[in-house]
Amino acid sequence: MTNNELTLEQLENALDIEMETSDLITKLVKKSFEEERIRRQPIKIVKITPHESKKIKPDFKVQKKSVA
Amino acid sequence: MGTFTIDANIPISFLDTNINLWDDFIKYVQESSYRVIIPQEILNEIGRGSIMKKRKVEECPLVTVVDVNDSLYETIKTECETIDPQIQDNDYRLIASAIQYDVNLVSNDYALITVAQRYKQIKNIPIEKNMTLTTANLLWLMHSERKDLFGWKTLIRFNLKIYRHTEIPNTYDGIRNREWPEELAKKRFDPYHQNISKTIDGVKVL
Repeated sequence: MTNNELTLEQLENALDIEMETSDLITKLVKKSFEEERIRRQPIKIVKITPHESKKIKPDFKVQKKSVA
Repeated sequence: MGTFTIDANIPISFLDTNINLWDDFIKYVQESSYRVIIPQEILNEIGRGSIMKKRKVEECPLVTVVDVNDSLYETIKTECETIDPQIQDNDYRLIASAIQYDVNLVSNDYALITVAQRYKQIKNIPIEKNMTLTTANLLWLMHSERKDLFGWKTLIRFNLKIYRHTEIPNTYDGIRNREWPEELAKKRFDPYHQNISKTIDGVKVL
């Protein structure tokens, strides 16, 4: 579309808006990249150490077989 | 960024044989899972200048031609006329499409951008919602988001091409036939200059 009546003042206002938009784009893009990075972080795999595994005991008693 | 509603001047300049940015733009839209909409009346405006360009836009599967709600258009036109009565009916239609479909607006018409921004301020629309982007802003967005598709050399090349083949002829015509102050010519390079400087600053020297 043509902008027949564009004046210098109007252009200066529009250029200011344009610069603000450019800065805003940079901020929004950085923010969305950061969110994406967090989203894509691998799931943490928790390993049970041998020490901790000893604590896990079966909740039943092993019956000793009687020797005939 | 989601979806863009585009003004006629975007495909008109992007499909210019001296610029050839349309395919890169569509690839960026596709790879980023974005969408492009265009009001029917704006598409018709492209067709009045070039049937081939209209067909290219129409046939692109990522571009959806949309209808703009008449009552919303009339309301926005009435409200925006108090800001700047000089802009055209299709400008109001483009602003209405951005509001109706809740999308970002892209145009290289500075008068339209000013009106759309003032409208947003009056309606208390947050700055990051229904963003208004000029061509230079769109180039910066493409580079910022997808350096894999739109690296710094490509960004610089297209900034210079658009300035050379769109801005200079438009400003020349403005000065010669529409009584624009000559100072406009210098200032219209500023956004492209900023884009180029920012991207060069961002390039790591190995």
